Amino acid sequence: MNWPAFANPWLLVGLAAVGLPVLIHYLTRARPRRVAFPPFKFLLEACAGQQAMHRLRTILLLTVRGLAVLALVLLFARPFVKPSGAAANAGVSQRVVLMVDASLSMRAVQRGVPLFARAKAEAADVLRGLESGAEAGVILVGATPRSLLPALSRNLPALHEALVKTEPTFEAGDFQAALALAKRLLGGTGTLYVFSDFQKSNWEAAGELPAGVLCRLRPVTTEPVNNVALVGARLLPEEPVAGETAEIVCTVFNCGPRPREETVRLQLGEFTQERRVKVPSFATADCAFNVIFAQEGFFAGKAWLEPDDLREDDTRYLAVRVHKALQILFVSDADAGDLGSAAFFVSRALVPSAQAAPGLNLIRRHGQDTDRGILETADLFILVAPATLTGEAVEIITRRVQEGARLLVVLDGPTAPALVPAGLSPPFQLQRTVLSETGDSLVPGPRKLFAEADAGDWSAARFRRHYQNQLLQGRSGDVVLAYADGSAAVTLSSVGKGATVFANLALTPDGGDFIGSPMFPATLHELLRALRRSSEAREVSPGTAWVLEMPTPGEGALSVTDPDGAAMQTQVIASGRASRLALPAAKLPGIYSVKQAGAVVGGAAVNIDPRESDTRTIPLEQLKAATGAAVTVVRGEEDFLLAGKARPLWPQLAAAAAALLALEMILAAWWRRVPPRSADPSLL
Amino acid sequence: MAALKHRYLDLASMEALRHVRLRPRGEAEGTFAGPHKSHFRGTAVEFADYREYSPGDDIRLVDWKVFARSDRHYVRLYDAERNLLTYLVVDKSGSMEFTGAVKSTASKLEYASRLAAALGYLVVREGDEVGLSLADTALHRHLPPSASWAHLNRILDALGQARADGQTDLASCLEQVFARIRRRGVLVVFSDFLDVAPAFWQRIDLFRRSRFDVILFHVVHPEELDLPALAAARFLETEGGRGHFNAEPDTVRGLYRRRFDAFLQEIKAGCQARGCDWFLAKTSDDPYGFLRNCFLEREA
Repeated sequence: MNWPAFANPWLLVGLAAVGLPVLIHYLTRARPRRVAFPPFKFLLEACAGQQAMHRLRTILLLTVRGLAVLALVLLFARPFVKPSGAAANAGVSQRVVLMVDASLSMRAVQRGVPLFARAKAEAADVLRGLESGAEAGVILVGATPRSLLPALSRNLPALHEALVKTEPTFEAGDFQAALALAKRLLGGTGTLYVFSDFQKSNWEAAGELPAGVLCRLRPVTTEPVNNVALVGARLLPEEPVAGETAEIVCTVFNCGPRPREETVRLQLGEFTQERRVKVPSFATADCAFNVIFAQEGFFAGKAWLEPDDLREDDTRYLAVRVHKALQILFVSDADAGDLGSAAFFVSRALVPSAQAAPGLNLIRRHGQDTDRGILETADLFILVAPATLTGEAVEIITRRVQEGARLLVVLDGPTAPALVPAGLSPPFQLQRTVLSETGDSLVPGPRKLFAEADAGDWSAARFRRHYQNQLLQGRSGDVVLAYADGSAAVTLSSVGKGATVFANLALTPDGGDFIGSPMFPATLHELLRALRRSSEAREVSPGTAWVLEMPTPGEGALSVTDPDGAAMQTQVIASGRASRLALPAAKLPGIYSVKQAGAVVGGAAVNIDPRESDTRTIPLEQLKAATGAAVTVVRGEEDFLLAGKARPLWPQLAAAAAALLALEMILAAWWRRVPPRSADPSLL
Repeated sequence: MAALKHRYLDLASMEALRHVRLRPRGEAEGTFAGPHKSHFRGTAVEFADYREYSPGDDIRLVDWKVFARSDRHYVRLYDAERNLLTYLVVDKSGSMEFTGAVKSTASKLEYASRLAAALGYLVVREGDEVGLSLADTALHRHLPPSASWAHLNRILDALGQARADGQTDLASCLEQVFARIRRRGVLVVFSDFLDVAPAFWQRIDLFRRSRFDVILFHVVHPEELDLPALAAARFLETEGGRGHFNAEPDTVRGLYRRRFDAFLQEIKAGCQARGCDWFLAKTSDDPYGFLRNCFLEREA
C-alpha cells in the first residue's frame, strides 16, 4: 500500500489547526485565584493524585480534540490510497484517455455547481490518481473535439494544468468524432473515461464505443436538468421589405416533465414586445410577434426567456436585413388589358394597388421582352402562361434561381411545357393534356402552406386543368396541393439557394371558379411568403466555420467583429454586389457585425444549436460497445475513485472524526459534571 | 452594671438570650455563694446531713431539738450553693483569620470572639465568674475568672485586641490553662480544631477527670465546608506553611467534602465519647441565635 495522496492537498495547511485546541485551552483557561485556605491539609489529603489525574484528563481531552481537528482537516483534503504497482492493473490503467464533455449543456448549473466544473474536477481526480509513468490524454468534446495534448503524455502535471484551465463551450458535442479521436489516441488498448451529461441528442449519433478499450462512463448528474429554452426565432419573410408586415416566430422548448407558461420578450431595433406562451412538457410551442420595419437597413435584436438552470439557451439573436423593395418580374404574353387572362388575375391578386402591397415592385413584361438587366436584378420571377421565353432568359432565370432568386410558374395552356425548364428540376413531369368538364377538386399535399391552425380549404373550388402530371421519385414531399388522381396541382421546391413554385392550375374564368374564391389571393400570397423563406437552413451555431453573405453597399474593406467586439479573421471569397466572407468557427452566440469604413453595414446572428437545449439523457445501456470494449457505468463517487484504482479514505476519516468528537463531548461532560453539594445533615 | 459597649457585644441583639443561662452539668466550685449546686457544705437552705458537734463549729448550726431528744450535740449540715466558674479559651492562631474567598463573612476569630463575648456577658449577668485565655502555640492573655462587669470589659478588650496569627498548639495551651486554675467549672473552647492531635484529647480528658464541664465550639467558615465557587484556585497553606495546591474546585469538591466531613465526624465523636458538648458554628450564622439554639439543645 502506498502513502495516501490528497485530492485537495492545499487544504493540508489546515494541519496547523491541530494545535488550536491547546492554544485555545491555554488562552481561555481560568486564572487561578490565591486563597489562603485553613483546611489545606484536608484538601491535600483528599485530592492526593487528583492533580495528576486532572492534568491527565486535560491532556487526554486536548489530544482527542487535536485528533478530531486532524481528522477533519484530512477529511476535507480528501485523501485516497493508490494500491501498489503490483496490485494495480497496470496493463489497462497505464494508458488513459479522459473525455470531458464541454458542450453547451454542461454549462447547466445544478445545486450551484456547473456540470462542467464537476466533470473537470472528477477528471482531475482521475489524473491525480494515476501512477507516475502512466500515459494520459484529455479530450475536450465540442463541435470539433480536441485533445489538450497532441498525443498521450506522461507529463501528468502539465496535462492536469491544461485540464484545469479548460472552459465549457457554447457548442454542440460531436461524440462520434470524439470517440474516433480517443480510439486513435489509445491505439486500441487502455481505459477511456467519459465525463458527460450523456445528452440524448448528442449521444444518439455517437456510434459505437471503441473496441479493445475499457470504457468507464461517468454521468456527472443523476438528476434531470429541467430546461426551458428558446430554440428558434425566425423572421417571415426572412428578408422583409420596408413597410411590409413581417412576423417573428419564436419557438420555446420545454424539456421538463411539467407544462410551463413562459414569457418571451423581444427586442429588435425599436420594437420591444412580450408574449406569454404555454408549453407542454417535452414539446415546443410557438409565439409570434408582428413587426413592420419603416425603412431599409440592418437591424439586430434578440428574444429571450427568464433564465433557468441552463441560461445560455434562453436567448436567441436576430439579425435582419430589410430591403427597400422586392423586385418582381412578371412575365406573360397576355396583354395587360386582357381581363380574362390568368396573368390579369394573378397580377391583381398579388398587387391590387401600390398601397395594398407596399414593398412589392411588380414589373410586367412579355416573354420576348425581357432584357438581361431586369433579369439580373429581379428577386422574384413569376411566369404565367401563355409565355414564350427566350433561351437566354431561361438560362438567366435558371442561374438566378440557383443563386437564390425565387420563381413562381403558373402552368396553364399550350405554352406551359416551355415554362418548366429542366435546369430547375421540377418535381413532376407533364404527361398529357386533360380537360375535365366538371372540374377537379384539390386536396392538401404533404407540404403545408398555411399554419395548422388555419390550414386552408380548397375543396369548394373546381378546376378544369390542362395537364396531368407524374411526380418524380422522392419528390412527393414538395406537393402542396394535388388533384384526386395524384397529379400535383401546386409544388414548392428548393433549388440551389432559391426556391420554385409550380402551379398546375387554370386561373382563368374558364378554368374554374377558383379565381373568385377568397382562397385565391390568400394562396398566392402564402406561396409568395413560402418562396421568400430561405430555401436552406442557414442557422449558424458556435463551433463551426461559416460563410457570411451580404450585399456590399459601398467601397472599402469589410471587417467582422464578434459579440464581444473583437475583430475576427475573415477571408473574402466573393465580392461584387454581394460579398461572401469565410469566417472561422464562432465561439460565442450573439450578433456578429460587419463593418465597412467603421460603420455597421450588416451582420449575422449566431445561435446555440437547439439540440443542446434538449437535456434529456440517453439510457447508458443503449450506448453500443464495439466488440472487445468493456463498458462500466460509474455512478457513485466511491465507485468512481475505485474505478480510478484509488481507494478513498474519507469514510474512515469521517467516522474517526465523528467518534472523536463524540468521545470529546462525553469525556468533557463526564469530567465536568458538578458533584453534589449536600452535606451530612447531622453535622450542620 | 458598668457601661458595656464593644464591637463584639451587641446588647440589642442579645435580647434573644434574655432567658438563657449557662448551667453546669456538674457541681459548681466557685469562690462565692451563688445559684449553682456545689459539693461544699454551707449555709444554704437545702438540708444535707447531721454531724456531731466539734469545737469550732458555729453553735447556730446546733440542732437543739436533736440535743433535747438525745442529749447529744449535733450540727445541721446544708449544701453550699456556689457561683459558676467559666473558662473561655479562644484560639487565635493564623487559621482563624479566614474570611472566605467568594462569600466573605466575619473571620473565624471574630466570630469566636462574638460568641465568647456573649457567653461572658451571660455568665457575668448571672453573677458567675468568667475567665479568658487567648491561645495559639501558647497562652497570650490569661484573665483569671471574675464576676465583675469591669472584668468583662477587660475580657472584651482582650478579645478586641486579639490578632489571628501564628501556629496552633491547643493541647499545650489547655495544659497551661489547667495548671493555672484551682477550681472546677465550665471550660469553653472556641477553635477550628484543625491541629487536633491525641495530646489535645488527653488534655480534654484531664479536664473531664477533674469534673469540668467541657464545651467545644467548632468554628468553621462555609467555604471550608464546601469549597469556594471558583473556576480555578491556588490554595495556600496558612499558619506559616508554604504549601500550595492548584485546583479547579469543582473537580475536587466531592473528595474534599468527604474528607472534611470525616474530620468533623472525628471531632464530634471524640466529644461524644468524653461527654463533652460540641457545636458546629458557621461564621455565616447569627451568633446569638446560634448560642440560643446551643443552650436549648444543651438544656434538652
